[in-house]
Amino acid sequence: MDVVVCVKSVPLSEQEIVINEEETGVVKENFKYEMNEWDSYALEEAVQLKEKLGGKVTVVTAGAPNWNLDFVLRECYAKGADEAVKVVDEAFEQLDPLTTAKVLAEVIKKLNYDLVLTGVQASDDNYTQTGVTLAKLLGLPHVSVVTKVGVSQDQKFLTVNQELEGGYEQIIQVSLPALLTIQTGINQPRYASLMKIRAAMKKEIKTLKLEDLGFTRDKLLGMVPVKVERVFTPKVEKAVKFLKGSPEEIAQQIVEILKDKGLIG
Amino acid sequence: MSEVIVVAEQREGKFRDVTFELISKAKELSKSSGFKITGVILGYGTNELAQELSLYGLDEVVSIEHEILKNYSCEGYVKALSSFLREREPVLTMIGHTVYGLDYAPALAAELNFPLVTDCINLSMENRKLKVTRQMYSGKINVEFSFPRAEKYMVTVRPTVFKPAEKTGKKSRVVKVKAEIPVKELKTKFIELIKPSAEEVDISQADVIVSVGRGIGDKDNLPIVESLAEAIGAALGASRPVVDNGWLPKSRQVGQSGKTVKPKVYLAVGISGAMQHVMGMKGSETVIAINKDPNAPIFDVSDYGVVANLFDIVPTLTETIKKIRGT
Ligand SMILES: Cc1cc2nc3c(=O)[nH]c(=O)nc-3n(C[C@H](O)[C@H](O)[C@H](O)COP(=O)(O)OP(=O)(O)OC[C@H]3O[C@@H](n4cnc5c(N)ncnc54)[C@H](O)[C@@H]3O)c2cc1C
Repeated sequence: MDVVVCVKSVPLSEQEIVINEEETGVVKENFKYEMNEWDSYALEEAVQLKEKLGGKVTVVTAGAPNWNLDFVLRECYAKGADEAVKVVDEAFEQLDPLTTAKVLAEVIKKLNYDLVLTGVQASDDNYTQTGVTLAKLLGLPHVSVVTKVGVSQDQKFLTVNQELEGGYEQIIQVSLPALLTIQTGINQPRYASLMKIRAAMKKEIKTLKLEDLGFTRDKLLGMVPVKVERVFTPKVEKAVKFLKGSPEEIAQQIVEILKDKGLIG
Repeated sequence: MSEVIVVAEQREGKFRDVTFELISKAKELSKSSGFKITGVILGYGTNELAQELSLYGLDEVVSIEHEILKNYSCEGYVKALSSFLREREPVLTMIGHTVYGLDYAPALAAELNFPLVTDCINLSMENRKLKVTRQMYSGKINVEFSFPRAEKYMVTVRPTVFKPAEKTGKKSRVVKVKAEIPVKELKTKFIELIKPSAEEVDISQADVIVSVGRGIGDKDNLPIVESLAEAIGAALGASRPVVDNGWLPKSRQVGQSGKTVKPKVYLAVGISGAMQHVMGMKGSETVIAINKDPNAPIFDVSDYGVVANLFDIVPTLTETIKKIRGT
């Protein structure tokens, strides 16, 4: 089974987010990047399928030059990917999920695959949109928020669990080729051994420019249907009172709150 | 007259709350712009639901029926809704940002070439021009978007944000439509809906919950929060990563895909406050959060906040309570 996995390089989750002066975006100068959490589960699922059934795992990423793309793709190599492709351009800083999916679709069209995996969402922009849009553009059936994948004997279809809300799940059969968006917890992503990390440093990363895919930066930016009007700090739902002091003093204040509520004597 | 379409969401013959939240927002938008509001239900044998929906002050209810829509089917929804929306050409289509919504809305939008913005927490409309607000970086910032070229829009709206609409007593007309779905061409098939199992622990009934997040760092550190929960007499809850890592069972998970809880006190330890977590706990009477990041979104839904390393605070708190209890 040949699997293509889309991975995104995202700012570290503990990164401090500062809104720029113009209120049109966030200050990205000091950002450090890592593989999107959801994508690491998608990669693991692809590698496990390959280990069971044979085939090849190709990872595809699209991002801006400073997103540490090579670091993320080498991590994919170290964890079992066979080939890695990146599309690099400044434009990705400003693309919406639809336009990003159009770029990814052009890359994937040229690859051999039975299955395409993406994460449910990226932890930076939280759209939960790119994977499903990509499926539509590739003409593939899809299932999103997948927590279990089973392959039929003849490898013609999958039986998957789709996680719904509140502990509900739904079992769906989907014929191959297909696209799944993978949910965290579906597996336990492996750690890469030092040896594999070293070997990954020597592997080739195929680099594509927008022009190689029939796009230009201006054309892509012109395709984005939305415009950022304003970026601002969320309004707080409750006025939080910060408790201050030494750990003992803070503990005492929390105790008072619990007492007030009649929860401790 | 321009139309706003609200796609109702139902599971097992019951509307999900987001349906009524969408309706109330649609009504608010229509107040200033005078849109017609139409509610759409997809299903099979949904007559009763359609009648129920018609009591919420809509201008029209359309019930789109097909055997394949008896259970949720993404392909079925996209086929049925795309032909319906092509015919109606609504200015705005509103869908809940639920798992169903995030599963079919992007495909539907791409099919119709409508611009889509997902997980919106606010919408405003002026001269038929829509602006929407959504969050990024897991709730750390809000971003307002406009649509420079579009005249028709599609949005998914975050559940629990808008106040649900109430029944008005006035009944709107109900139209039944048989969907054309080429069943033989479908590439997906619904097999089974699995309901949550009755588990041994049910944290949703607890008065106090101590909930632990990824900030705990390692399974070996769990006893620190377990001792606190025990000292208080609280149930132990968790955010998703703690469960994904296998450190605590799924029955402990609070949030969209876990339990919804409303205790008197919810103590969040090392939890950032992503919307999927917040959705499961924001009904708590009092929320206390301990997080080392002063900008963590959990503080936006907390009554009391402690900006500190949890390893400095939690053991001291446990000891203090034990002393009071004399244990
Ligand atoms: C479809 C879908 C469904 C989901 N359902 C759920 C759900 O039901 N429940 C749920 O919880 N999530 C759910 N999620 C995941 C959610 O998006 C977040 O990824 C998750 O809630 C993050 O958990 P966390 O806050 O524990 O981890 P993080 O976001 O990693 O936050 C850890 C926090 O700990 C703090 N911290 C770290 N170290 C310390 C320390 N020493 N002392 C104090 N603070 C510290 C950090 O500052 C940070 O704020 C879902 C996601 C999707 C896409």
